[in-house]
Amino acid sequence: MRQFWTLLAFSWIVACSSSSVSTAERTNSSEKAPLATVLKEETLEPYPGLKIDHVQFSNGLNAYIIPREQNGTVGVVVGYEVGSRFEKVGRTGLAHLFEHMMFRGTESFPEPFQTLSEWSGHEFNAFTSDDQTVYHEMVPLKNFEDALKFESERMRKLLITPQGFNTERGAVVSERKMNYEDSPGGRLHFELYQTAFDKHPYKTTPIGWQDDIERASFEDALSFYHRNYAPNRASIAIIGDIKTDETKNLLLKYFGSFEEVPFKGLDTPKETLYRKNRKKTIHLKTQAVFLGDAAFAPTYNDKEAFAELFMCVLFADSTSGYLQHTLVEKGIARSVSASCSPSVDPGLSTITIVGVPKVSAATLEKKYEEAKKGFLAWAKNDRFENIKKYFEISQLESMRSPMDFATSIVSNAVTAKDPLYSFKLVEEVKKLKFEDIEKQFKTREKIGHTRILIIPAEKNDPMKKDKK
Amino acid sequence: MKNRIHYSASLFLYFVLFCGLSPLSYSKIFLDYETDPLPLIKINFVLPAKEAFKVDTDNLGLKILEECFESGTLKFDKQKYQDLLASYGASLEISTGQSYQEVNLTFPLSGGKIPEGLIQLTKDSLEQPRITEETFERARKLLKANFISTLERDSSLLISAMNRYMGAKLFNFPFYETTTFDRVSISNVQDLHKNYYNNSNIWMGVIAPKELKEEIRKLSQRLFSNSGDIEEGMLETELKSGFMLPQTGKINPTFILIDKKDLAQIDYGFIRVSHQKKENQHELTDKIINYLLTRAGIDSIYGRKIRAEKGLAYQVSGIYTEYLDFPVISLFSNPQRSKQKEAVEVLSDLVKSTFDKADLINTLPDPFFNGKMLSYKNSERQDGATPDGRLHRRKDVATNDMSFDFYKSNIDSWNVSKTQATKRLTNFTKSSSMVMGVIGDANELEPLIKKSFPKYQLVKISYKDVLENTWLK
Repeated sequence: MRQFWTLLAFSWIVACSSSSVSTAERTNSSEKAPLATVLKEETLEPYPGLKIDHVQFSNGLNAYIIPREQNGTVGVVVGYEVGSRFEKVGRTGLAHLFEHMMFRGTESFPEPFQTLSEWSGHEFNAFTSDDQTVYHEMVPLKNFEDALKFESERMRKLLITPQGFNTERGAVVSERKMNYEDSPGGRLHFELYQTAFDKHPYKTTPIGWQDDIERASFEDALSFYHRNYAPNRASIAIIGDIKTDETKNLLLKYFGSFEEVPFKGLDTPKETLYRKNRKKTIHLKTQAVFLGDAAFAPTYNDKEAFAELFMCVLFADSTSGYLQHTLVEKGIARSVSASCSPSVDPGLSTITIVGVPKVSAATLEKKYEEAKKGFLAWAKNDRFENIKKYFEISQLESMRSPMDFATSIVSNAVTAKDPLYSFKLVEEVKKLKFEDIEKQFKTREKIGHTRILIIPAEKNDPMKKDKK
Repeated sequence: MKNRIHYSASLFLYFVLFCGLSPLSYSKIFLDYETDPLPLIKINFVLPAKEAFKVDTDNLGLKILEECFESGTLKFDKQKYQDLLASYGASLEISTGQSYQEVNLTFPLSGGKIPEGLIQLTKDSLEQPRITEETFERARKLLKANFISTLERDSSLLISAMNRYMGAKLFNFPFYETTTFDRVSISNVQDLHKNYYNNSNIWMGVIAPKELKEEIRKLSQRLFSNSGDIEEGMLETELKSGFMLPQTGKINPTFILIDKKDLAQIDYGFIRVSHQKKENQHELTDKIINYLLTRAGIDSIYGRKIRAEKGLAYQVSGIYTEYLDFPVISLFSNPQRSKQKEAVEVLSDLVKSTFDKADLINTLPDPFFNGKMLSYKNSERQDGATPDGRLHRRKDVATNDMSFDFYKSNIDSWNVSKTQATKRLTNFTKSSSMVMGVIGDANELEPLIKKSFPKYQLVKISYKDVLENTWLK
């Protein structure tokens, strides 16, 4: 094991000499006097008694501190405004690949899984989406400061080596094969985005193309890191047995010396929302037909986002939605589900239907089209008001766990620029009138749709490497 | 709003009521409370399904019963039933575990009372679920479709095949299969409901403000009418599950090879099952061993080897710590097809060092071992940090998934040495059966397996035979 450490230290030196990493930046350690100051402090209270202390620092970092009794543990969640939306053609998959790299070590924690686990039993994980990358860890209270130090070093002082980069590339390729190439559901999702988008980076989804992942250079990764991992692109939430003032001081100590990295925003290409419908059929070794139906969706800034999301709940919620009654109950489909959350740029609202084995693609499509005609009549009156109540408890239930709650705050802060967006969503849905749903449903029908059909076959239709 | 303000008074004040337990009488309902900062009430009922798991038609019947519950009541069809539930903002979900069935009722706190209509609806649902010819047939068809579709994912297909092999060869355990769907009858389902949905042995976990305690008590009396005793507080011994498997048989080391072409990756794994039932004295050590090997994720021993060091696969996991009350050690991973030769060699090395030499844990650096102990303790602390997590642990005691001794032990006192873990692993190896499995192209994999696992009996099955469950006939 010791030999491995020596090798790692050596390879880091190689990495420094062969890359554009600035030594000055590396020595600009967290022990330096903080440059940042507190710009703003406020207490948010989405429900009576549920308090969140928000602190905004002058280097752009936003912190959300949530003191609560938590059995001697603290949750730390850091979200970055970087996801696959920030990638270019030929460089896809980099945001997600970089998420893997963030576990390879920092100056004080050269092997975090080893050092932090051994010191204090840290547990950590992360996810990458189109618009964000989020890291979370749960630690014992006595090691809370280690967690902040670790997160601060990950922000600006990551240790990355070509060797580590190549190993993570292998894990990402395997993840891609498992979740997209050998999985009909994953393939459907990937193909919906590939087919719906022409030029926007949402086209490729965070997993990217295998060729791009394999071709990405170590320098690409370093450049990506230095451009995107900065205090002004991050929000941090801390939940647990902590005190706000002490936490604020620790944040200044560990993040205060970082300067913001200028970011002018992205000039992403705009898709044509009103265009002809598109359809693609894929043959895979599956037992049932998979049908995906997608339409361009509103963004966080669009007031229609609330009607769109709630319309999807009414239409295709996997438990009590309309399609559950018309397709699953009638023995046509095995399951239905919807994903209609807003995104930063117009993304996709998707409906997924998995047929009962031996139900043909033609039958599934026909029944789906017939079902759509009866939706608005079904959703009217009491049912509309009742399902609103159900929606509220399901939203609250999804934030019951402390880590889920902290993740929701950070994720919304980074993407919607409103940490309380989930609570706003509940309140805005309560205000919706049936006419809003009716209008949104009709608008959705006019927007360009994309349909993917996966049909059972003897041989697999491999993923085409079309990257236009 | 008044209630929300009222509720905030008890915000963050988690409490558990431990009342003295009196001798149990003929009917037992156990109430256990927690509070939560969110304005929601959650009630979890657990009803042991006793002997139902010994017969494949009953085993499947419980799943059909689950569907019938969700189809409404004899009075209300599914649509009307869901409309009524939604009118209270409530959800009522049923699920089936290894030896019990559970009901989860969640609804918003409003007015300091539980609405009478919701109590009546829940009572109707529990007493008169919609078990009709129509719902039975629909459930049978839907579950059959689900059963087939679950196997779409290769990892599920592999685990299913290995489970079925072990179930058949080790335990004579009746996993239901495609033919069971033709043999199950509506009377199976009606009998299951009659036998298990009564007041004889129920655990109720409640997350609600303490002010609602009396309301909850009344609710439990209404739901399970004629109930005699209602015990409040922690249940120290498990509910009378009655699900006891006979002593296991023994099988020679076996390697199941499922022949499926055109895959981008191969799924492989092993399950090693003890021949001796779990014992409380080994509970912590068994949990630590599983945590070290796989449950710590990519920082587990197997995770480090397969993913962090070799970059062979994304997924490295273990699926159980016990299999039908018998301790288990398992591994599942999914290396890329292009790396399958190296993957089989790594798998062989791991099996040798874990079981044949049994020195895997003993040779770990002390800091790593101690760090994992800490990490395990932290994860248990975190589980106990939420009302849901605390109630879940208490449900585990009620269903015999955790001993009461383990539950009440102080996490700070937990300690297992490398020597203890190694000794346990050695004894486990001496008295256990091993089944390995892989799914991929047999032409490519068979020579690799024969070379790396020469002592294993190779069972080669076509993809079609696994899907149709004809291979164990």
